[in-house]
Amino acid sequence: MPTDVERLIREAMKREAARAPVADQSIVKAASRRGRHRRWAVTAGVLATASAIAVGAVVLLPADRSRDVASGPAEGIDLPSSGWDEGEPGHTALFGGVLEVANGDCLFGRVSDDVVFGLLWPEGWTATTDENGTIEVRDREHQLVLREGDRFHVGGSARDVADVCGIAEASMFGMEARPTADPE
Amino acid sequence: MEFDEYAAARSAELLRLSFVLTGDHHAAQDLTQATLAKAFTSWSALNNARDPDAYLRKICVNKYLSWRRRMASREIVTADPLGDGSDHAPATEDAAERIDLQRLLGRLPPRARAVLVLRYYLDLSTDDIASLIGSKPATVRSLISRGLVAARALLVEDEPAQDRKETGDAHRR
Repeated sequence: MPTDVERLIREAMKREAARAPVADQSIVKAASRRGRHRRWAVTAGVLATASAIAVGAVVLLPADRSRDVASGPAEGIDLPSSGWDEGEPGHTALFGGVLEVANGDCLFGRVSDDVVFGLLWPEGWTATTDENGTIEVRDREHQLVLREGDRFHVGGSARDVADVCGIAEASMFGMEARPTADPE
Repeated sequence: MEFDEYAAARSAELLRLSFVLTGDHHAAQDLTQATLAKAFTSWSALNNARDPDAYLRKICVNKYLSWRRRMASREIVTADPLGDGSDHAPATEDAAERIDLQRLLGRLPPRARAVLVLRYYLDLSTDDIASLIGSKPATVRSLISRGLVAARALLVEDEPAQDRKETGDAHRR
């Protein structure tokens, strides 16, 4: 049997819903336009990234520069978000690489010696450090997903070129799935 | 079924859910539009889903939570990041019998707020809510419990105001 406060909350929500604006056809049309634009933008981004990888020209970077600038450990850092959340549908362009760290706490993906990507993570994910100072990526439930140095793959979509951890200008990859560590 | 047909049939319901979540007309319309835009790009998956409406709700709630998180990270102090408060109901004259919903929801973190809406507006079970927000049922129960505590505290706060009003009325008489 519901408590009185539960009844009051239900009633308050019904009253609130009754005050909602009236939906009209324009909202559906606007959503369709927005959806079409988004689909086009994502397709263009994926194609651009695929081309860049094909010619191996995303960025040229000294192989160990990120290690040179790495400093102290990081604790409970909020990771930059792709806007994707677990349970949502996502795009399926595939990213594969090694998880590396620059500037102490900035995570990026290395595809090869010369090619890196900035990473945008699922909503609410954080990075912590273990007792040895190794960075670990944790999901919203604080479950360990990846560790610094892990080779992993993940689905998602290419985003704009941006400054990646202060070490290179490169494409960002927005994760739209849960990354998986590859077996060693 | 075509996307436009499905979206037209669901937009009113989706707008009501968005409004209860945000408490603001403009934010509700934008959230509805963003949800439908995402549904458009995922139409094949949504149309083939076992429960397309549940899929749509999931998009809406997760979109709402993303917005709140992004806004929270950009703003330092805000009572209601999505709304300006102008759409909120005024304190009711019969506070002992009513809860000012937006005051209550405004006191809760976004996930607890969404969970209360899913539980008491959509009448979803804790298991369904857990699946929808990607959490554990125990976490959902804890968030609901926190919401109920906040609601009880709000009712207690409003009681003196009600008493004062009655006392004032008695003096005037």
